[in-house]
Amino acid sequence: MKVLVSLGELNKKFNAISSVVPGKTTMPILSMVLVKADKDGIKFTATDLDISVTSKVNGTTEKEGAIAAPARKVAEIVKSLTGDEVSLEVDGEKLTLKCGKSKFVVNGRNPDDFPRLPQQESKTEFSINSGILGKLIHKTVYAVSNDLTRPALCGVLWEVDRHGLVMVSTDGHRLAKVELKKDMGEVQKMNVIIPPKALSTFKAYAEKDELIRVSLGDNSVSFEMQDVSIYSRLLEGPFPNYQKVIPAGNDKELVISKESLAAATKRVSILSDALTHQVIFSIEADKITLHVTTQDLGEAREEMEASYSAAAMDIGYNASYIQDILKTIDGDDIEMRLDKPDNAGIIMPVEQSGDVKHLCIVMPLRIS
Amino acid sequence: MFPINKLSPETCSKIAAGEIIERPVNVIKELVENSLDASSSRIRVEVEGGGKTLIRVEDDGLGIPGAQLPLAVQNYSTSKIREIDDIHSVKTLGFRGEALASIKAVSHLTIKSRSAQEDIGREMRWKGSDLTQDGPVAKNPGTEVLARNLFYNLPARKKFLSSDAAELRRITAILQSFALSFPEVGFTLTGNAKEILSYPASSLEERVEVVFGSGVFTNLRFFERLLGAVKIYGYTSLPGLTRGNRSLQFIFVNRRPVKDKLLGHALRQAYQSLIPGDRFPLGTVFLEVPPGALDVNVHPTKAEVRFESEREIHRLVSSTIREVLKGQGNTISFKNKVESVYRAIFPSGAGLKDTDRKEGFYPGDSAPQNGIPGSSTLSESRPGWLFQELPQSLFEFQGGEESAFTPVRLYWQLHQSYIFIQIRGGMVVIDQHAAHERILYDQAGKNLKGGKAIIQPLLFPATLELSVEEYEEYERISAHLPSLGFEVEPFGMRSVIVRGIPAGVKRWDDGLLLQNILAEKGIGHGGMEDLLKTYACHAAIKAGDKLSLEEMESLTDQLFATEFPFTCPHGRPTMLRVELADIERRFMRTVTPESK
Repeated sequence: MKVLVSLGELNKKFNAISSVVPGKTTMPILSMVLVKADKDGIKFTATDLDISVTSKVNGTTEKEGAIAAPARKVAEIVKSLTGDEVSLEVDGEKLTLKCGKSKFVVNGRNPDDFPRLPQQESKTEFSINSGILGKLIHKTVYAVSNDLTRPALCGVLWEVDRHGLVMVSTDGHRLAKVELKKDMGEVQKMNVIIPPKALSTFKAYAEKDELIRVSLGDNSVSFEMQDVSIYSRLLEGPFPNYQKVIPAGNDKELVISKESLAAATKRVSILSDALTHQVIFSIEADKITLHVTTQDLGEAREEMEASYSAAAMDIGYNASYIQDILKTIDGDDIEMRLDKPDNAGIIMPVEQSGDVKHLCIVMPLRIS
Repeated sequence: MFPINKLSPETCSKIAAGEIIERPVNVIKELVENSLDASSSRIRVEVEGGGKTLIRVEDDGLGIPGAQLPLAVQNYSTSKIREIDDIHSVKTLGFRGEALASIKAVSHLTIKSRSAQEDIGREMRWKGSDLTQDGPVAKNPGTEVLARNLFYNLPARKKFLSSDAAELRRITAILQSFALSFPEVGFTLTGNAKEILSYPASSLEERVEVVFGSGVFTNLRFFERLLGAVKIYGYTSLPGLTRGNRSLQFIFVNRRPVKDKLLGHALRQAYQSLIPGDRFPLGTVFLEVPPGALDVNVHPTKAEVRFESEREIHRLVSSTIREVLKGQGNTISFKNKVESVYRAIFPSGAGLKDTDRKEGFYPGDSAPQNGIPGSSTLSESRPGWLFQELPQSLFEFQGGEESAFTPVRLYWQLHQSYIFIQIRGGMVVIDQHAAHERILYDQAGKNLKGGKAIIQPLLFPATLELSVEEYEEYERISAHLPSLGFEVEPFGMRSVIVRGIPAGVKRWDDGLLLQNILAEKGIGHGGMEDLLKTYACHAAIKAGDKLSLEEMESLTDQLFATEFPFTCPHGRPTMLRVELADIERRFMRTVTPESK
């Protein structure tokens, strides 16, 4: 194999692909990047056996071929080079990099040793704008659970049908849901649970707005972008019946500026209990007071204007849950729909933007 | 069978003596008590052959007037009480009037004594009941008692004596015990002409330091409290310093050494959750109670006593010591050095049995582990890394340094199990599971004692199907679950539904946490303490859980906010401290003149 790639392109692509390489692994081959040149062009591939990323590289192929090259060392070399163009040449299991007057010969491995993830049989496919998909992911991925005893909660549920896409995530204490209304074309109705790593990897690559192709199979999902394709296994369900826990009767409505609530929550929570992060929301007519009193630490208190006209009440929330939610909501103001202080509350944007409906649920903390 | 006979006086005295004199150490105890009761300021003890061949106790006390000397060796003759009622107000150590007579019955006894009022002493010598010598002797004021050939006439008893070395250890131990109780008296002990102990008259503090050794002493804390007519004081070890037996616990009631179950239990109670169940603290406890509130005449050797108000005494002892362990009421300052004596603190597990340590260990002797084969790994050969006392300046980087506002606090997780923190002069290693256990135990304990538990309700309530045993356990403890933060209801047919869990619990594991707690046998019987420990153990993060920098920092902060940060509820240490100096020594970087 011999290819010529501009240094800038090589730097960018190799760096990006290296982030998929697992930090610690018992399989040395997984610390390698597959470098391959064939009639379709030059490609880098990395995998951790759960997800696999292939990135197209712009360059000139002088001779086709492939090698598995150690990711960390090659990335380090490429980063240190100066010059315009790099030539990558493979001879057996050695990769030679030349740039200007520098020359490196790196020991690699046979490309046939590089693990290939099973090719999925796609059951349904749809196209979507990568920017929009990225936003939907941002609004859900933070709420996944890391309790491995319930693997289904460790991913984001996607429900797709002809009329749109719904994403739901929950860790049992809070829940995030976004709903995109859109004509999805000829799509078979499917529910899948996607691991967060696949979604964050997608977000890391989806830097420009483009139309991408999403394929869903029984056990896998893939994102096809112009230069990059991401393939991931799915998590096994069933996902719990989330519709049951979305409260319908919450009729106490409170509207408040998102920024000021986020800032006040952050300030007041400095003195919250390190374990529970509990902050009390004291709500009364057109006013909300956040306060904490923590033994051994002290107390904090902040008052804010809000639009509220229902009965006054005190609710305890985990401040970090509230902060997480506020970071994902669009618009200047948020709306809280509350019931009794012990019951789940809804937080959502006052104005839903366009065809996206966004809603978060958070369980209050309660005192025994 | 013989016809019934009245026993001869000689047989009677042997039988009676057998109750008091079992081995050489009992002779010494009786004689030293007499010397102490005689207001001696210096007591010399000399033994040969572990006391089997010769015992000599010499004092500079009041002495016995020559005319009274023959009386002194008769049964039930004493100068300490006059009638039975005096027993209840007895202030002297002895009072039964049996000691010298008993010793005379089982050995060749010699007494030389001169009272201060006389110019010359009197010496009496016996072989059994035969007086072989009686006459004047030149002597300084005081009494000297010699007992030769102990048990010469009781070969069966002689056979049951231990080796000379073991008997000498017992003698050493009892003299240390007297020495602690009478610091104003000087003691020396020689065995086969070699000096074993030499304690000059001193203050209690100095005496405790010399008896326990300075390495142990730096880890003892003074305590003192007065409650009505009862006074308690003494020194007790920090939780990191323990032994596998009670041999370094010295308890005194009105200066009399006792092995009292009540006080021993009170001491245990004070260390509850601070040290493992099979370890014992070191130290000495002095209890002063009005003689009338005490019955010492329970046992001939007076090792047990009875208190009038047992409960109050128990509470006083355990609460006073508990307080001092919390770091309050500390009246002496601590050198923060880690001494080699700590080697005895943790059993290395490598062939080091309790009995091994019991055998060659004298207080103050710092060598118990040196000769253990196979103790080559870091942890075994340097248990001195135990974290004892948190120096004030540990996490504060003040004092004109540039880094005053950017504390250099580096956290690093080893094998996802231990947190390493760089501190001034070394590092601290925290066991993340043990640390979290302590935090949860403290928090849940507070909640149970009337604080409010914060509940995190579940969006999706969990239904648990329990086994018969688990369900029984659930019914037993269900009343306490809400104060831990669990909201659980029966759900028919041995099932329960969980609607809320303690806020902040990381290892809920979809119900496994509660199920594991219920699966632990007998927590409902062991009371709240067991439930707390079980909860803390199961809810705590485990070895293998990856922690972020923030989590490590928060865990450390929370740990130091607890009452007893240095041990987990089971009494294992939560942290070790490694001194830079130790590391330097291992790399042989300690500067010596040659290596310069």
